Amino acid sequence: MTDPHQYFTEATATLEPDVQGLVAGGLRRGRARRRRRQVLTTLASGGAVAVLALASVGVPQLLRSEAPVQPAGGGGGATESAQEEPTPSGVAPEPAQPRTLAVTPGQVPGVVADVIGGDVETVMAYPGDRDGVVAHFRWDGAYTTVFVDGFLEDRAPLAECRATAAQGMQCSSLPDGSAERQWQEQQPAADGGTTGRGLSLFTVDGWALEVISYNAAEPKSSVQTSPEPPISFDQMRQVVTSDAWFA
Amino acid sequence: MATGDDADFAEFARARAGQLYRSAFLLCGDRQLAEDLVQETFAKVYVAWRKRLAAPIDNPAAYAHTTLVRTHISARRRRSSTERPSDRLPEQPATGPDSALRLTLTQALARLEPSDRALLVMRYLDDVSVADTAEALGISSGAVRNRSLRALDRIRPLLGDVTFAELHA
Repeated sequence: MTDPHQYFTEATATLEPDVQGLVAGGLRRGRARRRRRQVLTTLASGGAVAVLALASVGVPQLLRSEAPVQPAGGGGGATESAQEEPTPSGVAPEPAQPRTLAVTPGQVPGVVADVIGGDVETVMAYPGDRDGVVAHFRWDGAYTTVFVDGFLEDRAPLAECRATAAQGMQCSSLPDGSAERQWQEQQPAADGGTTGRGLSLFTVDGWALEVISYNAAEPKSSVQTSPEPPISFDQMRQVVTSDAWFA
Repeated sequence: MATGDDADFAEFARARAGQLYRSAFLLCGDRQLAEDLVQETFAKVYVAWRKRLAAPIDNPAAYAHTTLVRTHISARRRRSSTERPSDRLPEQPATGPDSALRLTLTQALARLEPSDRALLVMRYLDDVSVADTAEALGISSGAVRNRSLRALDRIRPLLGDVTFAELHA
C-alpha cells in the first residue's frame, strides 16, 4: 500500500458509529447550548438597561448582589451565584459589561511579543469555541499556546476555573472577583519529558485567558531547549492582564 | 428525536455522522472520546445552523469537519493542558479485515502532536485540500505541505512495511 489516503481510508472503513445516538446526543447538547445563549443574550441586554437605570438613581450598592455577566457573544449566562462561590473578601464581584475582543487569531503571537518581547513564529491559529482566539506558536523557539475565549459554560469565574482544571490544579480568587490558576508539570518520559507551565485568568465579564509555555519546540519532544519553560508566571500574568486583547 | 425545524439538521447530522466519527476516532484513538467529540461538534454546528439573523453556513460538511478538528485541539490544550495518565483502557484489538491496520495507525498517530495528527486526518482521511486545511488551521499552505510530509515521515517506521510513495515523490 503506497498511498496514505488509501491507508487511512481502509484503516477506518469498518468503523461504524451509533448514528442515532450521536445525532440525538448532538441535538440535545446543541439545544441546551442554544437555550443558554438565548438566556444570556436576554440577561446581557436586560442587565445593561438595569445597570444604567440603577446608576441613574444612585443605588450602585444594589449591584453587588448581581451575578457577573458573561460575554454576549458566547460566554454563557451566570447561573452560579456569587454566594455559591464567595470571594475571599466575602464581597461578590461587581457586574461587568463584557468587553469586545480586539484581535484576530493570527495577531495573537504579535500581541504576546508586544507585551513581553521575544521572537514569535506561528504554528497554528484559529477562532475559539466561544467567539475567542486560539494560537499555537513558538516564542523564542519554545512551543507556546494562548487562548482568549469565552467561558465554556455558564459559570462564575472561580467555578469555571475549577470546572476546567485538571486533577491537582488549584484555583484562587482575586480581589476583583476574577480567578487565577497556575500549574507546572513535567510530562512522562514516554512523551519526551518536556515541562509545561500555564497560567489562566478567568475574568468577571466571562473571558478566559490562558498562556501555556513548554521548554521545547513541541509539547512532546525529547529535545528540550531549556531546563524550564522560558515564559515565567510573571510574564504570563502580564500577557493575560494586558489591555491589548480587548477594544 | 428531531422535530419541526430540527429535522433538516438531524438529516444533515445523520449523513455526516459516519465520516465525522471516523475522523474523530483517528484524532482521539478511542471510541468513547470520539463519540463525545462528534456530539460536541454537532452541538456547535447546531447552534450555528439555528443562529437567527445569520447567513446560512456555506458548506455545512466542511464547517463540521473544521469544527471537529478545532474542538479536538482546543479541548486537549485547554482542559488538561498537558497529557495525563488515564485509567481508561486503550482501544482493544478487534477482529476484522481492517482491525490490525487500524490499531497500527492509531498507535502511530498517538506519537504525533495533536496538530500534526489533525493535519494528517484532514489531508488523508477527510481529503481536505491543502488550501482548505491551511485556512482551517490558520497556517500557510506551505506549512501544511511541509508538516504533513514530516508527520508522515515520522509515523512511517511505525507502520511496518507500508511505504508512502508520496513521501519521496
